[in-house]
Amino acid sequence: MSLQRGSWFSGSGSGEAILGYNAAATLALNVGDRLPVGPTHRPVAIHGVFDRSGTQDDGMIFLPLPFAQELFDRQGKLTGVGVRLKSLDRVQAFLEKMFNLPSVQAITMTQFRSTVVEFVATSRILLMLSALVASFIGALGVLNAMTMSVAERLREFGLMKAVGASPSDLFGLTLLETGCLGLLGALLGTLMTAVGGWGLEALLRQVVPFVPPGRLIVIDTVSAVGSILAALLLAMAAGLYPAARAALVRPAPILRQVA
Amino acid sequence: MAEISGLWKSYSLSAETVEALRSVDLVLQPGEMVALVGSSGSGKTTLLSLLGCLDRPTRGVIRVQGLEVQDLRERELTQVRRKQIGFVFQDSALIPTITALENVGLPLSFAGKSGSDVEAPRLMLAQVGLAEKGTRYPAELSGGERQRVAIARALVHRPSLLLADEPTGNLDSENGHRIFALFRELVAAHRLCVLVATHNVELAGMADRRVYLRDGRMVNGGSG
Repeated sequence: MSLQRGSWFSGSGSGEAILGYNAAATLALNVGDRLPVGPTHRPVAIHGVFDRSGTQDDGMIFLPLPFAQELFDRQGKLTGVGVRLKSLDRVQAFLEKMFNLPSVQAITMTQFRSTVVEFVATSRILLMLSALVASFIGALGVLNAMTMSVAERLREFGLMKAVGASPSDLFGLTLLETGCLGLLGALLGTLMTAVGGWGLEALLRQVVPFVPPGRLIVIDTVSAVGSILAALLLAMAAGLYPAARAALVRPAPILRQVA
Repeated sequence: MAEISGLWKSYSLSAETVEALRSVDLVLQPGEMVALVGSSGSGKTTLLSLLGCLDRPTRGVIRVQGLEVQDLRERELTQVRRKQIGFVFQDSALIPTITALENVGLPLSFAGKSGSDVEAPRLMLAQVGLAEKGTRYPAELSGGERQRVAIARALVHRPSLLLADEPTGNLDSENGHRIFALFRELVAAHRLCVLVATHNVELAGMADRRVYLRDGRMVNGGSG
């Protein structure tokens, strides 16, 4: 790898870093800037930026090994070693050779990449399932609240019919109430997501050694409006049964109970 | 004005069938206040529900302003209720979460007239002597006042037929007399027809005519 700008480590052993090409672009850092790293957020000076390599190295932050070991309290230890073979034909033989070494696990970049891709895909499915379950529970909550509300006010609906309300009036009225409930829930949910995301981000920065600067969780307008609309639609769908129950109320038996 | 003939109403209660009304005939004229007298369970409320298009008879004919209503579809029945009928219930049955004025305006809202006819509820409240209490909630009114608000609500859309089901049942004797006196005034002022169910014979004496129900049968006084 060659440097695009700046210089190699000075050899002092601490407080220096060289950024991969993409890391420098993403973090908007240049030679001479300082970057907090590690669990103690120690500032390091950017000495250089590597040229684009087209590999995962472009996204890395490089530190002198002794400094990195000290920073993460792993003196004399290594977590991983990257090996680049001159010929791809030797990959299998190399893996077999490494396999025989105790306490060493060797994986190729292809395996690593597929593991990451699978992890991301699994995480996405898990998140979607969680969202689905949460939506289902939310819809059940709305259904329960509105069914109870309608059951408690059957007499009121009967009375409204007696003074001129049509079934569609009562259907619309109940659905409107459900919509208000859904909208309120959606707005509160979005607000809690924003506040919760901010809190989670603050927590992550406290406990995780290196978290990139900038916002980790961004709630953009399109996502927020989309979520609110989806929640509103779900609430309305859940409110169809209670609304139908209110619309089909028979006033005579209900009013007879009072008379 | 309103006429029922050969009216039957049966209910199924578990295994047995209850005949709530048995071949009832009744004619109501405009500008007439008729007391429907009978003990509990005699069929008064059932008769009012049928005449008010809230329920359908098992058989028989109901005419309101010349229109046969017993076989109308729900949408048409709603229109008849909106235009021709006003209801007053025993416990006033006001919506507790809205003001007296808003309660009175309910029938107009359902008829889609609330925007163009904002003064009507205010005038109606004034007519029942509650002009100053429009902003009060039902819980802030006395029993007699609540019942007068209910009467204003029943008349705000200018119906031709007012049906009152034991409107004085929860009131003391003085307030009961006031309500019946108010009915008399309204009958004269609007030339509407009032059918008021009661088991209070003294109050029934204030009506132009009394009809008696016993075990679902009209005992006398059915024709106008």
